[in-house]
Amino acid sequence: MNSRGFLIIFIIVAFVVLAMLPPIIMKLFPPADLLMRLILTVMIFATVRGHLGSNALTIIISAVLIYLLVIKHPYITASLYVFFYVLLLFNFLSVIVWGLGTRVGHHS
Amino acid sequence: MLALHLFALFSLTETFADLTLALKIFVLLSIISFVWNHLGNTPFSIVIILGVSWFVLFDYWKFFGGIYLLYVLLTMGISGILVDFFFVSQMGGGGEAKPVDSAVDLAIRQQQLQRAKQMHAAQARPRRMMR
Repeated sequence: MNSRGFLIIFIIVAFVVLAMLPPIIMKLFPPADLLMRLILTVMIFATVRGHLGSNALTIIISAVLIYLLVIKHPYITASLYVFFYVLLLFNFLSVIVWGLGTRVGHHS
Repeated sequence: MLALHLFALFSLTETFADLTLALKIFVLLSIISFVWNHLGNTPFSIVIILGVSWFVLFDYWKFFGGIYLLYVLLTMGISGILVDFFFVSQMGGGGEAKPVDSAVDLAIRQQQLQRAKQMHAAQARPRRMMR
């Protein structure tokens, strides 16, 4: 395999590791788990309230989403939230791609 | 063992179903806020919301689910990552020749040029002999 193939694999592996970090940290440190659940709850409620305003429907839809995403599948939601909502929105993934491209692409 | 596999499979399908339901709720939120922003909170807007929701969430969900996911990812800036990825890995194909960036590159190019000149001279010699 040439250096381009290695680079693509390195980038994919780096993305997978980044996506797996939040569940691992949540599993290892219970306070981080609680904090992440709180952040997810607030974010979901704020998102729904931003769409619908303050009324009864907001509370019902928020409750359903919080049950599904925060209580039932917290690790998947935390992983998706950190990967897409934090790293992607603040362009940190571009830094990873650029860093790996300058390091791995030139040396392998 | 089979029970474990079945449990894992069931768990996966259940997770997928739950995430699909959450995505459908987010799509419903988008539809409601879009219609309310344009028409206000009126009986007519409720009729429109019901019609569009039925069309998007049930009739053509496979199409609109993918479209909504793509819309969300593009909003978050996934295209920038793709540009970076293709730029770094140069998967566009070909590209320009690498510029000379070190003395080693220069030495290699001079050696290649010298070798090409020698080969050219060696090929030209028998032709002169023929004449």
